[in-house]
Formats: sequence, structure tokens, C-alpha cells
Amino acid sequence: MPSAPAADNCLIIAGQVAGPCEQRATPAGIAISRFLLDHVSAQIEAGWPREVRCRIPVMACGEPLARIAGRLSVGARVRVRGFVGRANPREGEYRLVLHAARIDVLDSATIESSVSASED
Amino acid sequence: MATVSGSILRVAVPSPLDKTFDYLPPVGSDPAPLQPGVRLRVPFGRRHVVGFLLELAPDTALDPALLRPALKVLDTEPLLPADVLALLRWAQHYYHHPPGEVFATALPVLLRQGEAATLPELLPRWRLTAAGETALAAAALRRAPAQRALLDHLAQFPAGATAAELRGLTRNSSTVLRALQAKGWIVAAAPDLAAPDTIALPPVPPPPLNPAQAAAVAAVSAALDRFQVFLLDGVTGSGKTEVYLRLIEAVLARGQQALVLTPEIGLTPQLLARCRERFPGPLAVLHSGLSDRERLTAWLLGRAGQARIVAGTRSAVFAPLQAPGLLIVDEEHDTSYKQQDGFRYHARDLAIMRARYLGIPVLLGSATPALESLYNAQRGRYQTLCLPERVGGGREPAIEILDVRRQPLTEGLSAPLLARMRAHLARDEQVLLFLNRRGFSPVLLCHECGWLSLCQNCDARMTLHLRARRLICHHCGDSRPVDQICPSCGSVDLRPIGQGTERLDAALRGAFPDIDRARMDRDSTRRRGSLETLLADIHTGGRRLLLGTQMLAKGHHFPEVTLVGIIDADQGLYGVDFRASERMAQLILQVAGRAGRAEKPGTVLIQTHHPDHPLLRVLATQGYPAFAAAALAERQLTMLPPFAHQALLRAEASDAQQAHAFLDTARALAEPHASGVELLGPAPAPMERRAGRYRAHLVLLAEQRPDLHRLLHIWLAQLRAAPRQAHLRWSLDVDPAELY
Repeated sequence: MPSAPAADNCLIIAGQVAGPCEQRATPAGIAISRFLLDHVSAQIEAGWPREVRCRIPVMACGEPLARIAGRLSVGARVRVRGFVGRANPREGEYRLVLHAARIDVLDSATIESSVSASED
Repeated sequence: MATVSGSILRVAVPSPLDKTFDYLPPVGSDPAPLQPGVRLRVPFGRRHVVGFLLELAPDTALDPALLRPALKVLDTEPLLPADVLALLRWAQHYYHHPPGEVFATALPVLLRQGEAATLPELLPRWRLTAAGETALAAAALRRAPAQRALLDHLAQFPAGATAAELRGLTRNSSTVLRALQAKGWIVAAAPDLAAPDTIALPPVPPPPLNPAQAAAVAAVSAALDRFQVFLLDGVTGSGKTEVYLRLIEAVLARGQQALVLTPEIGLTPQLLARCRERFPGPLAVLHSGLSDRERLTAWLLGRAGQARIVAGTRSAVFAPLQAPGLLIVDEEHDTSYKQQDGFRYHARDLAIMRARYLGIPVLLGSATPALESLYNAQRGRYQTLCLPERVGGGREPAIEILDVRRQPLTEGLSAPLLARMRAHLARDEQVLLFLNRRGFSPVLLCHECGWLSLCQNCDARMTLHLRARRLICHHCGDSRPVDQICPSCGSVDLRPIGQGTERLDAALRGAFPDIDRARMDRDSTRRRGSLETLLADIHTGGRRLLLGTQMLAKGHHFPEVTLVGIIDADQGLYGVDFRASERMAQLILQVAGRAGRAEKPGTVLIQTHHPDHPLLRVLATQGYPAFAAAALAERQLTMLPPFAHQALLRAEASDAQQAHAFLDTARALAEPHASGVELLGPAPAPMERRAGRYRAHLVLLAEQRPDLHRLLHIWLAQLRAAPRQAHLRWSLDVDPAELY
């Protein structure tokens, strides 16, 4: 089992679902959903206001979270809290993926609003 | 103590010791039945075991006073005929294997345990009476069709038929039989063993022979009185079976028996079915799927001459026959003829020796003969009989190589293959996909840290079986539930990598939801009878997408298959074993042979990442003979079998060092005697660790066979005497079929 030290790794980010959610199950039967999150916001940097944009993949593992993620439609606004990890094991690749621990649906035209689920 | 000349019994006792044991005759026994070939109960250590009397010796190297008497003579006459005894003695020396184990191999389990060698009471046979014949002629049974069917059938068999044989003809056959008996039209009588089973007119007239078949039949028929090896080299679908049947017919007509060896009984039901159809009367079948009792009965039927045809797998080569006339080895290239543990004999090679002892012909048949056999044919040791064309004018399938480099593969299937499958399925034809890997995927991978599902006992990966949700090692059999999270980093994102038949099946269900599939591999046919059901479904056209492992490749005819896809040909191209490409070519052609048997021409598509591999190209464009010529040229350059003779000393221990140390010692012992023999190694086996044991080997290579055997003879005695670690095991394999 993992024996890495405990250390801070927490990301809370809000944004819009950028594409269809992929859904699958591992051979052991654990549900995994994955979608891309587009983030746009105003932030202050070096004392100046600025705009920030980024796109990050989100993994939602386990039945409750994967179900919520699976119901998200493109364009839905969500807030995701979780930890980040590398997206694949290849050496020299530093892309990140956000592993959701909680997903709050902030605004969605197509599904019931403010559904949330979490592992906490 | 003086002994009477010839009164020392030299006995093979089931033990791993490479020697025979001397006994005195049982106290007060009748000397008459003491002939080589009878079984004896003898004391051995503190146990009583069943031994096999090899010879009556005039004296013993031991102090006769120390000899113990045998306890009992178990047979009144030799159990094995002289030819089998001679064969076993030859094999014992050739394979350098302990006599006790060699002789045990030749006997059914129950006989090894001391059971009496007598056939169970014979079943009565029903026969037509004169009154019955009159009734049949007078058409008295117009209103009793079941009775009539039985009488019609019995009219064809003057020797009668057993109730079991008649069971299939009507419903309630036993009631019908009683009714006919009450009318006095049939009688049941014990079979008359003196009268040969008269072969009435065969129910199905045999198909006419084409000129090549006729020439083959004529050549062997002309040699029925002498030893000759024939290599029947016939493309798939060329009617080799019909040649076998005609020759069997000729042999039976001479009052002799035929012995037919096949690689696996379950996989060659059609050959047996055709034998049964053509030659009514008992057919003895010997294979590992029988109960010990059934096996003994079949063995005794052949020995007594009651079964005119004896068919079986590898060990049937030792089956005693009362009047042997012909030996047939079907699919002679098949590796399952080589025993892979214990007494490592090759049944094809032994069949040839046996035919030599008997002075009768032996017929080796294959569409893809082993390179060894082709080489022997080239040198004139075997006479080649070619069947270059398919019967009925069918064409051999065209082979196309499909380059899948840089092609997106959907679950292992390329777009061109999928398109071709669609076209054939749209025409209501059958498609066969071959993937020689069972399970869902050959490995499970952690997408985040790269962990692989390795077996803890072997240098191998554990295969994912998704339905069972287990990881199973196909090498040692170890298994465990599939991991929920990565054992190394804890991630849940574990992914199956690569394709097995289970995954291919799931992918096809997605791609062709309306087409019924038949998956044939060891997992899907584990239940008794499931293979037969599956085959029946395929033949009625109920399932049109067939997929499977090499189980699909052997022996079956699927006349409606017009497209064969070989999903991954690359496994065999770069194997460690020098025979890997030969095996791959044979397998591809065997699978290809399933296609286009009827009027519809077949096509074979081979998916590969190495479209320019020279042997694959030759195979696809010029066929097996050209492939074999190229492969033989390569073997000659590299001095590998059949241009040299090989033996392999294998050692395994729980510690790699021990295995190597033993082989180093072995090598040092061999060197003084190694003139004409090249010693290679020790080297670790291709899969060094298996089932928790480390394996290594030493290869012996000799241009001249006598050099090799001279060395082996001296060397093995030294090896057996050499001190070694208690947990080390070693074995010798003469003419090994694979490195491990």
C-alpha cells in the first residue's frame, strides 16, 4: 500500500463542463467518469487584475461521484474540490488531472440544480 | 545358492530409478506363465507394487540369496505383444528414461494397479432370425415403422448389433426390441468372436477418389506387407481423411487392424465419426477423457482384436494390437504428440519405430508437415504422397497481409478487417476470427504509476478474466480476485491492456449486435458437452461469428466460413524458440484451412505490425512448401534440427544459483566425452521463474546422433550418481519440442 507522506494537495476550482463525460468501469467494477473543465475567472496578480483561463481534466471515481459527473451536460457550471495527480505515468509528462472528492453543480439548464455529492 | 538357469525375473518396477530389479519366481509357482510381458506383484521396499516382467535371466549380478521372491503372477499370458515390448525397450534407451516409468506409460491405470486384464462380459448382440427375414421381405410391418426400421438395420449387419448401437434408431428401442423378440423375428446371442464383424454395405457410398488420392491409396496399398514411412502431404481440404479410410478398409479386408493417432480426440471428432459411419463394429478410442474403466475396456478390445480400429491420442502408440496392419498419424506436425513431462517421448517417432518392428507401413498425414518430416522425405527416408488440390475443386483461400501499423485499432480490430467482416456477414456467410490468447486481457496496468499484474511465482503476467473478476496466471494456475486499487499507488484507475478472446467477444457484441457469436476457447467450453453444442450451433448456421483460440484451428470443418481474420500474427514471429515461426506458419495455415471449403472461395486476413517479415511474406504469397524450404535453409545455416540432433538437460530449483551450479557440474562431467557434441549453456529458461522455481538448461547439439547418444549414456549414469541439492529437480529431453 502507498506509504507516501501526508502533504497538502487540495484544489477547488469552478468552471464549465467542456465536453461529454466519458464513463467506464475498472475491471474490479469501480465506476470512473472523466470530463474536461473549462475555467475562466478574474484574479489579482502582482497587484493587477487579470483574466485567467485554463482547462483541466476531472476524474470522478466511485459510484456516487461518477453518477453525478455522468449526468453533467456540456456547458454545466460546476465547482470541483479534490487533489491533483499526474495524468499518465509516462516519464517527462507533467499534465495534471483533478481527482474529484466533491462536485457541486452550480448551474445547469438540463439537470436539477445544485446537486452535490462528495466522498467526505 | 545355485539358481536354475533362466529363473531370475528381471522386472521393471514403477520407480524413478534407472534400473530393473531382480526377483525370484513366486514360491511354488507354475513356471509356464512366467514369460516376458506378464505383470507380477512384487515386494518393493516396504510396499507391494505391480511390476512388469522384462526377461528371464540366467543369473543376477547380486547375491541370489538376497533376492526376494515375487508374490504373485498376475497374468496368464503376456499383456503386451513382442512389438510393443521391443518398442518400449528401444524408447527406454533412446530417451534415457527409467524402465519402470516407461513401461507404466504403456499400461492403462487399472492394469498398473493390478486389475485383471479381462474384458467385461460382452453385451449380447441382436440378430435377425429366418422368420424375421421372411417378415421383412413380406413387408409385414407396414404399420409398425419403428419395428421395421430396426429390422432393416439388422438386415445389414449379419453379425448383429448391441442394444446400445440400436438405441439411436427409434424411440423406445428396448420396447421395440422386446416386441420383435416376442414375434420370434430377432434373437439376442452372445457375440461370436471367431466370426469377424462382417462389414455390410456401407450406409453411405464412399466419395470417389481424385487421381492424387487414388495414387496415394495405391502406393500405400502396394506396401502393406513391408515397413515404409509415407508422408501424406495434402493441403487442407484435400481429402486426407478419405485416403485414411480407404486404407483402413483395405487393411480390415485383410483381417488386420489399423491404429490411428490423432493429436486431441475432442478436437477431431469428425475423423472418428467418419470411421464409425464407414466401419460398423467396435472402434476402440483411447484418450485421457475416458474413465479408467472405459480406457481399460478400449485397450483390451484392441488387444483382443475385437476392435478392428484403435484410435487415440499420444499414448495410444503403445496400444497392443492382435493383428496390426497399418499405423496412421494424423496431423503429424502437432506438438501434442510430444510428451512434455516425465517420459518425454514423441508418439510420431515411436509410431515409426513400431511400424519398423512390425514390418508394416506407417502413414503420416498433415497439411503442414513438420520440418523434420519434410527433411526426412527429401532425403528419401519417407515416401511423399502429395494431395495438391482440394477435393471438389474448391480453391485454397487467398492469404492477405494487413499492415496495421499506424492504424487505429478498435479493440484489436482494424477498420479494413471490420469492413470486410461486414461485407461477408451481409452475404449471410460465416466469419472466423483467430486469437490465440484466452481471457479478457493479458495484463492489468495501473494507468497512474505503471504497475503491472505480475505473477508472484512466475516471470509472467497474470491474465485478467473479467467475467470471473479474477487475475489468473496461465503458467502456474495461481489466481486471485482482481485488484480494486493499484497495490503500488492506490489508484483505482486499473486498465486491461491487450486483447484476449473474452475481450474480443465483448467487442464483437458491440460491433455486430445482431449476429450470434460462438466463442471457442478453454474457458468457454469447460462444461462437458458445451463444445459439442457450440459446434452443432455453428454447423446449423445459428452462429455466424466464430472466434477462438487454437481450439478453432484443429480438425473442424466450417464449410460456410468465407473469411478468416488472424487478429495478431506477431506473437509467433519473434519467439525465443527457434521453432516459433514454424509453429506460427502451421497454425495460420490450419486456421486458414477452415475457410472456403465449399463452392465459396475463402479469404484469410492476417493483421500484423511486421508486414515485411520474410517468412510471413513467403507464407502468404507462395504457401507452406516455399515457407518450409526457406525455414529449412535457415535451420541448415544455423545447424539446428533437423540438421543437428538436440538434447536438453533441464534443471529447476527454488534458487537460481542452485540450478546453474548443477548445470555447471553437469557440463564439466560431459566435456570429457563431448567429442562431436556441442554444449551450450547453462542458460536461464525463456521463462526463468515458473511456479516459484528457477529453471535453467544446458543444450546439447550434435551433427551425428550416435555421438549424442554415446555421451548421454555415460553422462546420465554420472549425473544420477552426482551429489545434488535435495530440492533440485532435473530431467533430460531428447529431441525437445520446445525450450521449456
